[in-house]
Amino acid sequence: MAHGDTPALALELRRGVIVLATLSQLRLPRYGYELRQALADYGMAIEEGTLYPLLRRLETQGVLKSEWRTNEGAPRRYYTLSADGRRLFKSLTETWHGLNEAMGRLLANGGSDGR
Amino acid sequence: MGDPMDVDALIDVYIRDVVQLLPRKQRQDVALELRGLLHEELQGRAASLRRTLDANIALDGLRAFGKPQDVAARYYEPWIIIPPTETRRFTFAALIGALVLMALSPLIAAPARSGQLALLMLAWLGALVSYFAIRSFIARRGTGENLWVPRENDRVSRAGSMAIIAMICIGIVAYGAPGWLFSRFSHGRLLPALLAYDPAFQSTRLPVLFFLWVCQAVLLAVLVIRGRWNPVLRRVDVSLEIAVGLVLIWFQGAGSVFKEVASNKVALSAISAVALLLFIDAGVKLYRDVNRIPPPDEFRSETS
Repeated sequence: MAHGDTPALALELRRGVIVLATLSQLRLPRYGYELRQALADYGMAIEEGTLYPLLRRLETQGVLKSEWRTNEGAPRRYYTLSADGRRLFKSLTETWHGLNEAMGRLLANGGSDGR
Repeated sequence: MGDPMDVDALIDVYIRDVVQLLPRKQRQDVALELRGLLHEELQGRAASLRRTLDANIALDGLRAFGKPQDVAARYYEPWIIIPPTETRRFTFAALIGALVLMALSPLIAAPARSGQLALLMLAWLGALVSYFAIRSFIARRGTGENLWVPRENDRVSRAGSMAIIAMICIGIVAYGAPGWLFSRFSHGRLLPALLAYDPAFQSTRLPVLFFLWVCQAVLLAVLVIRGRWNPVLRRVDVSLEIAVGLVLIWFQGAGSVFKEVASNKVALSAISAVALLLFIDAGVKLYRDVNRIPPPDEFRSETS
């Protein structure tokens, strides 16, 4: 495989976990910029042009709920998990742990299964 | 050259370019949220550079945010008229249609030819876009409900084939003995002179068409018995279809079909249209045959 494909494939790999990472930080209400900073602090930097539309899409799907707050100056839209979102987060977390364990086994010894 | 835009103006223009691509009901809400977020993002960007936010930093930040088209597409699931997997098929159909229309352009009267041809090509493209849009709309509405249904390309509809055999038989009688058929259904009245064949056409050219129709009926009978197509039968089918098309072209150039001039004109126009349809159909069949994925050898031996 050409090495030029590596960044695109790495991006695709990251894209798969963006939703789970986002949900993990929305058990308490957060607005977009604050959420992005929180994710970046954990080493999961997500482009702003990707994260903010994602929040709206997840809200449209009923995974998140939101409200406008103006108590800190400029009006900000705060997002938090809905009941469906909490169930989805639990389910995705289990899926992630399963995948993580499976990938751990697959990648043990540099990806060779020893046979 | 006008004054360069300031930070607020750049943000406003960017937001305008994004939200005008969104569904109307989302625009105001997204614009309000995006304005606040972009201000914070750009302030953060300037702070990380240890500078005060200015138009240059804002422009770089907005470009990093993404092209408005890309950002807008992330806010909702846009309706795609021609899905990427259909683009090749659309292009092919548009090209073939344009070539057919160009080939037929000599039939258009000379003074208005180029204008008419352009209109016909636009109409063809419009029809294609509408067709793909309807398909895409149906697929979008049916998400999760329209399960894939396996269709065997080689399986023959026996009822359909028998119906076509019947139609060929009726066609041979109707075209071969129209006077007899007309008198049977009109209590013994004679066929109008308007529908009297040219003698040369009836005695020499029409039997050739009937011979090919009989061959097609035999092919269909074989298919009814076998129940499946195979490569040889497909080639025979396309060959017969092309042969019928060529015979119809021969009818065009070899003389009159009917004695009456008016009837003859209508008949020749209809024959041209049918020949065109036959060639298009044969072309599609050949194209599909070329693009056919061959079955594994063992499966091929079972089906041939």
